[in-house]
Amino acid sequence: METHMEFSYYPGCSLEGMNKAYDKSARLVSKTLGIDLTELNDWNCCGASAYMSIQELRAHLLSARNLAIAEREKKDLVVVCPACLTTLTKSNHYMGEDLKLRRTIASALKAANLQYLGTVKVRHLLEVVVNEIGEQEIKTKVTRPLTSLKVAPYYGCQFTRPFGEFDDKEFPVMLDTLLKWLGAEPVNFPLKAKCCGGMLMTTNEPVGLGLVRSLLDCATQNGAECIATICPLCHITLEAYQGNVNKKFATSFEVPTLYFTQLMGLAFGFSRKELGINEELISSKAVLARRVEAV
Amino acid sequence: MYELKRLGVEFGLVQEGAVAPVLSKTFVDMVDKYGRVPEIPLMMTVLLKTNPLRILKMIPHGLKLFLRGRMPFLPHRISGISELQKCSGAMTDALVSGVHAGPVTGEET
Amino acid sequence: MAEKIGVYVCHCGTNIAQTVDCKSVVDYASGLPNVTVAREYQYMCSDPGQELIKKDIKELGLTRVVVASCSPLMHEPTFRRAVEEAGLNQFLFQMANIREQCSWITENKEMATERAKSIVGAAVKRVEFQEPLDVKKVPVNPNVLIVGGGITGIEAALQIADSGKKVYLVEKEPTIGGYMAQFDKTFPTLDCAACILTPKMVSVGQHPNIELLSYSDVTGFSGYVGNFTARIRRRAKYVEEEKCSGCGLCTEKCPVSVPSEFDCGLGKRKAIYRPFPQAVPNVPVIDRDRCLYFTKGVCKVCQKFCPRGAINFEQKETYADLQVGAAILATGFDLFDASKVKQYGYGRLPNVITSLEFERFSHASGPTGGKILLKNGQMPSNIAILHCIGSRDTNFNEYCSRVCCMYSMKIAHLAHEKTGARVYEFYIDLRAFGKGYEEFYKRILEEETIFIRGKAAEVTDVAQTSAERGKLIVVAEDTLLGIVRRIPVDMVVLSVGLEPRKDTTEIARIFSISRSQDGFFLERHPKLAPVSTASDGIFIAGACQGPKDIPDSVAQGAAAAANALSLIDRKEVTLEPTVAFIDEKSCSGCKICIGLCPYNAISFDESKEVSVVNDALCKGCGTCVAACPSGAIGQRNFTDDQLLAEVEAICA
Repeated sequence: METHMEFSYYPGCSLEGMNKAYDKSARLVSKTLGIDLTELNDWNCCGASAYMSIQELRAHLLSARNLAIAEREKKDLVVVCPACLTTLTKSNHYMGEDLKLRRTIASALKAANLQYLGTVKVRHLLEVVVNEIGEQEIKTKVTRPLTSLKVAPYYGCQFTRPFGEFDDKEFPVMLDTLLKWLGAEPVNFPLKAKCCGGMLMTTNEPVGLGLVRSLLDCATQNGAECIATICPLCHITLEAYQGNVNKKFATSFEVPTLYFTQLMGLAFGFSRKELGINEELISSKAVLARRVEAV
Repeated sequence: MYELKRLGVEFGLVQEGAVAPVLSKTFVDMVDKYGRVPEIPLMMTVLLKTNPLRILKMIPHGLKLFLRGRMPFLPHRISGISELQKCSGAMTDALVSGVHAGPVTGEET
Repeated sequence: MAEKIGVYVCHCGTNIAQTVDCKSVVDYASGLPNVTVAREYQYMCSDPGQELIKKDIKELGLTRVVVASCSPLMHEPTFRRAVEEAGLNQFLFQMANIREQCSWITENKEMATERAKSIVGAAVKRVEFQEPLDVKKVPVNPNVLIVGGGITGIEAALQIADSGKKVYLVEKEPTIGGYMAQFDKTFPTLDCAACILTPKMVSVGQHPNIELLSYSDVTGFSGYVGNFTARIRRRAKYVEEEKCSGCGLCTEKCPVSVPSEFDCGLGKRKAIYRPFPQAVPNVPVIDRDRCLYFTKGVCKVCQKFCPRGAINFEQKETYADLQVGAAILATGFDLFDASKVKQYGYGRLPNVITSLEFERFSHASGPTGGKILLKNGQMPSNIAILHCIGSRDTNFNEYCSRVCCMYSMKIAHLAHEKTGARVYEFYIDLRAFGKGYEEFYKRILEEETIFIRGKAAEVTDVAQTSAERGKLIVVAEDTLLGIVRRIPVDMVVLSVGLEPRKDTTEIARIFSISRSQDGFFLERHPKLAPVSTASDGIFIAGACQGPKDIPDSVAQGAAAAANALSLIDRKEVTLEPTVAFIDEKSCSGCKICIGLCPYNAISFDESKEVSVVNDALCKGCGTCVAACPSGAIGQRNFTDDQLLAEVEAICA
């Protein structure tokens, strides 16, 4: 049974630069699963939390333009970054509830001959994979199970909060479930939905490092060999600063971090290069070699 | 929460040396100019304005990223940037002429 | 002969006069056909106001009266009484609501005045078509049904039984006592709960006027005030009450041990069991889902050992129909399910318990014999009590559960006494409103309890420092200090809130009573009628009406008893005659009305082949009147003529 679903795909700014591997692997595994992702034409930055901190209405406008373009394509929007998910969903939600806001945005969009009627749903790729593709289909695609690979499933703050009704808000399980379907062993990870610090690494490094340290500590204490991520900012934060954490706290962390799409790709038989794993900052070679055959 | 941040920035009530407002303002400038935000230029600009010495500390990180082909230097300007700017303009005009700004539960006017 | 209508426009202080131009309305009314006199007055419902009406009836020979003031719900009875006292039938009176439906809904004076004129005009037109009606009197059955045998039901039962009336006390558990039987001590006196409860339970068990139907529930309730029929399902205990002596040998010998509900699953009971030793009635019941005989056909040890031959495996469930004049619902509450709030780790982390579980630990006949113990068998040296779990929370219940602050402080006291542990209380506000409550709080402070003002954000087992390793860490913002604190403790007690019982929907349906937004039973008036409901003859008392402590529950139990006795001692009740009536000649026998009646007030007369309305059961809702395709059903005081007259006047 070949699933075939069509979505517009919104990569988000962070996938263009430092996190191209996420984009690469996401497209690859989606294709394999029959999820057709067409990149949203000429999409603009969603604004994330930074824009909203300065300008409220223009921030909503940024989302609205993307949603308007997506609506034109008559497809729902798939994102891979929870910050984009939250920002776009937030605008969608408020425009739906607040008539005055809706009208203000509508009149602004009109200047570019755009309109948005509120029909687009924004979803994270993980949620689409787990809810739409499902266990059966995914297991048939697994040619190289990640047997006994101990993974800490890391969700970060924004996957289920505030709009995520699709999973438990404090202790989500969607990624754990997917990892099991790939043959891996998700470890108990009580801090799975706690903040990595994200932008704090730039604005308040000591606090950011403390948060990353807690996460790495908790993951390794529970036996994790690597961390699975679903957010590009969480990923880079966890990956790039382990050295700084070690220096500050006299620890010796060296935990490889992999995108959930990369883990899926490995299980489906793709190579490290195809999935962009070779671009990683902390090598996962040893860990994967132990657990996954012929990588 | 966001309203407090906005008011802080608008009335200059931010802490001396706080990086977050600089980050947000730079972010906004880049979006308004290019439509997308390239991470490295963003970080660089912010650090230059707040803590230039940190750039030196970041060089080893930067090198690592560069060697793995993860360093985009040039911002991608979206083709619809003028259209986006037009929309922003239209909204500002509407606000100036009195359309209510911001989420308030409204009635059909 | 033309009617003589008197119109009285009330100012209601400023409630009406501030928005409606009363003089203008009076002038308008004076000009309407058949209006003999139109007056205005500050407070029509007052004595002088009523005198105006009476005087005009006597001196001017008025035949109809209209009062334009508040809602009929407020003062229709007042004015009807006044009219009757002056010698005019009370149903020749009509109320025009120009307050709740006019002055209170707008600030626009012109609009309000125009609307008031419209409303008054409609009432004037209508009242001409009204006819005198006689109220009906029915006798009242002196028996009372009380549903729920907790402290509230017990109090109500004893009050009524002591007055000489018969009480049927229905309790769904095998024993009466309710939640109070599970508590160790009660605040603020620190009385032993069982010591003050059990004497009352025994009184109930022995009272000649109380028939205790335990292990039973109400499956049907019909009738009207003073004449209700309750259908009771008496579940099979498989033990014959009259033969059982309560010796407890069967319980001793039973080989099956299962988690005890009374101990919140922390202790064990047998398949044949009494919930607790002082149960009333002191008769065990067999849990057929766990009994080896019922599940596997073996054992029967209890029967072998019973010296009185009281065990009867063939016993069947029976039904009883009781005739009562009034019913009191005292069905109590349920506790909020703490596992819904994932952040506190209930069910996930060890040693996170609820307040009731703490009570069971503390209780001398509880699962640990009165010792507060952690899962590893040791005593805690640090305990955190978290207030407002599930209460004052937009994610769960918005209301305050009223008793938790006090019971949390009681728990702190018990914790100090039994373990010497350091106790932290994480609170939002401290509600110590009752008699002796503030003084109790002071005492708890003096016991060096540490109060931190800040609702706990989460309970985690992920340690950040070595002091936290192996502990439960409560993370909370200390709002008085302005910092976020992490307090490592051994045990966390969640002060869970009170909720309506899960079967409240079912009970409300059976008794046809309403519930308020939070799900508790709805009282007739929150201030002035807290134990009555909109249904005459059905009263509510205790926690089923809203969260409350024992003193308030007992007070409400007694109040409901007084209400019930007041009803019964009247010996007869008057029924509103504004009921539906069927014109036999027009009725085609289609029976559509019968199925629609929510009160089962319509029956079919086979001999005449027409439907007949039971005046006493009919509540005058009007459904059948509207539905009848032959137009054969009318409603007294709501006839087509009257209603059309109103509409005509408004549209004019």
